[in-house]
Amino acid sequence: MSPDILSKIPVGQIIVGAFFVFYWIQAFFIIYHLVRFGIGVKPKVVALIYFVGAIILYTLVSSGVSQLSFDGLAGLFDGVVNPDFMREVDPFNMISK
Amino acid sequence: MKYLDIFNFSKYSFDGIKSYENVILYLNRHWFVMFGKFLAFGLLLIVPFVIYAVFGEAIVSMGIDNLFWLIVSIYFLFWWNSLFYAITMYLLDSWIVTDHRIIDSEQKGFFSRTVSELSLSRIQDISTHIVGPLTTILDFGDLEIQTAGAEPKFVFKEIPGPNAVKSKIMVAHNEFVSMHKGDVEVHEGIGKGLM
Repeated sequence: MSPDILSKIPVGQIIVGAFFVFYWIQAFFIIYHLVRFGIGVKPKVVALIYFVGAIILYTLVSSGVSQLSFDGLAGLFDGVVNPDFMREVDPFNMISK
Repeated sequence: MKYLDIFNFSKYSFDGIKSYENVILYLNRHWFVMFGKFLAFGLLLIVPFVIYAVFGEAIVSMGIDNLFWLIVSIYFLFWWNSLFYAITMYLLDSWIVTDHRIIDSEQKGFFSRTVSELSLSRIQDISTHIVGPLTTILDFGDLEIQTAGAEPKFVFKEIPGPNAVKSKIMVAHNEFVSMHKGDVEVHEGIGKGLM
């Protein structure tokens, strides 16, 4: 795979997307268990409160993510990671050219 | 609006309840068991605000305050899920005493659930264990039911008012034994006779 194709893959969005999928699967399990196995009214009310809270938090986070520029984030790590270093090192022999 | 019935359906209906069966007691662990967890979750809730109070200026000067609050909101998503996971496990760990049997339902994670059942006629001995000053003041502890045979004991863990529960189970046991001579289920017999 050429480096150009790799650079076009939106890694940030994929990670955030996978995180949200994981979050909603977990949310489903919590609601399912409370409604399916809970005895009496209390677990159902708890499931409703959880669901409403989960939607509110999810809306906040997803609006935050949509306003965030993943390209801009890379600039934050300029001082930490030197991309030139990667170009100068042979990844197979680890011999500096 | 049929689906909203789950919010006002009969108080203690559960899967497998028989038409002639009445729930005498429905028990979860004492609220104090959850109190410690709620306290821990309360502390975890304020952690991001403490971090911001300490490192707020540095965060703003680096221009990453938006990123910081995004990470905090993702943290709150995890916090919310973890809190309700704990509440779910608490609510699903329950004991039901009916006028015919005792059901012990233990939830040890999303995919690990143990449900045991004991007929009231098989009760041999009931004992309670209240150990420690807090449990004595708040009146909660364990209740053990010794069954006939080599079956393991039924243990109600950290339930509120174990002595009162013990008395109610003994009354239910005596009534059951007096109404079911020879351990024959009279209700099922009547049902079969009618069919």
